[in-house]
Amino acid sequence: MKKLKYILISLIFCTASYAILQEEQPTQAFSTQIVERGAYGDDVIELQSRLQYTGFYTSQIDGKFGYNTYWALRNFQEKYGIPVDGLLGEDTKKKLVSVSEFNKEFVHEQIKKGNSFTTYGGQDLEKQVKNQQSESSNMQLPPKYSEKDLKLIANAVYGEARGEPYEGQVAVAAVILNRVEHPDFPNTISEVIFQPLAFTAVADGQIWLEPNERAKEAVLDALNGWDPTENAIYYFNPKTATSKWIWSRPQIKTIGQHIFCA
Amino acid sequence: MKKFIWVIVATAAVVFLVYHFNVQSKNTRLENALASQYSNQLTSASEKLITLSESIDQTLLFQDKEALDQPLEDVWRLSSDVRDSISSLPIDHETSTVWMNYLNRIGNSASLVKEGKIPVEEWQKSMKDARENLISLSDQWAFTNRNGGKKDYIVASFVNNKANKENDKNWKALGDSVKAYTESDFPMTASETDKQKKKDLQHIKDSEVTVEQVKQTFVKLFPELKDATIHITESAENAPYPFYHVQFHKGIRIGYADFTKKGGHLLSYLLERPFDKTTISAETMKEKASTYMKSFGYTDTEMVEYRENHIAWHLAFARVDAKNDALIYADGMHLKIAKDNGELLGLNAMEYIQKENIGDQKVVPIDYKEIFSGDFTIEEERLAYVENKELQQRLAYEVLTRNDSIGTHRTYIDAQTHEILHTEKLP
Repeated sequence: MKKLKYILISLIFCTASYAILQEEQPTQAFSTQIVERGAYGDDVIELQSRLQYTGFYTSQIDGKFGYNTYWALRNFQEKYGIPVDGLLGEDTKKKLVSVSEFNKEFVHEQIKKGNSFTTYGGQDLEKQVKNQQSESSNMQLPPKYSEKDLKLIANAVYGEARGEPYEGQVAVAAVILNRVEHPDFPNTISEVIFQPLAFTAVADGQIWLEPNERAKEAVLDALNGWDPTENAIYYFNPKTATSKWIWSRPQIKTIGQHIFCA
Repeated sequence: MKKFIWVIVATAAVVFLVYHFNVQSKNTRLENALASQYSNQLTSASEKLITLSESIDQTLLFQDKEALDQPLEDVWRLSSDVRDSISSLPIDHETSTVWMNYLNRIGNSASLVKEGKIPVEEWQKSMKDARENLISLSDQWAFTNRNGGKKDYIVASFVNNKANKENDKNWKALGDSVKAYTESDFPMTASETDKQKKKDLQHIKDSEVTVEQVKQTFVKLFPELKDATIHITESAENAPYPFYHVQFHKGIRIGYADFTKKGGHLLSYLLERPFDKTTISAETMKEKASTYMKSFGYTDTEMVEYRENHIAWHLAFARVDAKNDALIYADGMHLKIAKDNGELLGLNAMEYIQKENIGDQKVVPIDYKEIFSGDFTIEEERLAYVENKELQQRLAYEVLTRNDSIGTHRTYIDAQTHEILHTEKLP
């Protein structure tokens, strides 16, 4: 009888401990920071996955806290009686964790592979991986630009100026953007870059090289408005330039090996 | 004799090698040229499809007839434009025909809706699927797709494929068919104002500052760089506006700052250094941003947007009109703040230096129900100055509308005439 009592007490203790651990473990998954619109990273990936599990979020899980995530979070807060502020604070995290599941390994693996997938609750996760690629970089851009723009300009910058200082790489990206705005050049980024004889990297095939993170960061700064060239639309390397015409352009400044001109 | 034969064989081998090298070089050059041309064609078509889908989104946003006119016309015009692009793409005939017919139907329907021959509700119902199809097709052709952006993929998938099927194709003619086009609704920051404001820097009336004064200003603004190695150069004689270019280097930090020669105003600043993996909170970042703005004297601004990226936050600010609390986007500025410790990595004040001339304008009350479709919820509204087609700054209602399947849009409506000035889709 005494033995049975011990077994019962042990069982109750184990069950209680398990329940407490279950309650506490998932909240540790989110970081301690308050996450809000404009944020990017693992917390947002978990937030989107959990919101999708509960059916509030239907867009791509990409780790970018944009408006779709924002409205979904507000709807979730409203439904569960949490103050509706669109912020991922402690109360919202706890409620999310208690009503949803998050398979971190699965989600991060799909993102790494570039797969298109969802995480709706009550369905087998493996069956939610679609046979198509989703395209999303780890950069958040101003609304007027797309990831396609970033990729294309980064290829051009890497092909044209990978040996240049950072400022020089931002400058080459800025020249491309200045040309898009200039009446003498085509109106789209791709047409500016692929305009015949416009860029050496296109002619010699270096545009097809995979750009590094530094080139992408330089393009990101240019897309956000930085223009170290002070409004240039041409540049050339005085050591290798064969065109006499380019010397006739009004020069603005020299960065690294390139002279930038109006 | 034997020696003579060896000489002939060696010469033949050299001639063959030179010939082979020449042919290879020519082939590579041709491959590069075709791959570039096809990438341009595919990327352009992809970009135009996205623009078309955005115009379709705008036709779903409004119910007011006048507000609908412009986006419907854009759809009609763009569908025709994209059709032309698709006809010249290096894809198989059957696929291009299917898509051209599809776009033709979209364009014709938009035209009929505009003429009142098709009810707007019917159009809006059918376009919810159409926009998805266009985005999906655009993704397939984008430079960023899985194998896209690689020359081998372009060559194998399009150049060789097309060349085998249509050897007599005039490749040069392909590039001519994609026409440059201008959208009626530029997003806010793509405005001509940006460019004009840069040009207007030549009209600054302030007196010129010396190199020594610029050095002092630099150290005052960035005291942590007072020990940096600094190299200051002047802009070239023919530069559109005169400025000083300050290049600095201190330990792991390297960067530049440009100052106008007239008045010594900071144009832009950018710093590069390695980064730690730690991340400060968004709250701390905002506090630091506010401190930076105060210390630089930009106290009449408000933060309008910020985006976290892998090493830094990019923040956008706009000047606030003290009269009515309206945002003046044309007087904008940008900050770049490090994620690891909140250090200021960049500042761009090029558009802020010269303030816009803002005139008085009436504010006529508006009923959003008459403008926007019932499928959209009005989430936020405030006043802001944006430019109209004549490039005049107009006081406008800035309205944030939301539809969970179509997305979130920001629309600017002239506060006096109720004309739609701009609409942009937000990520």
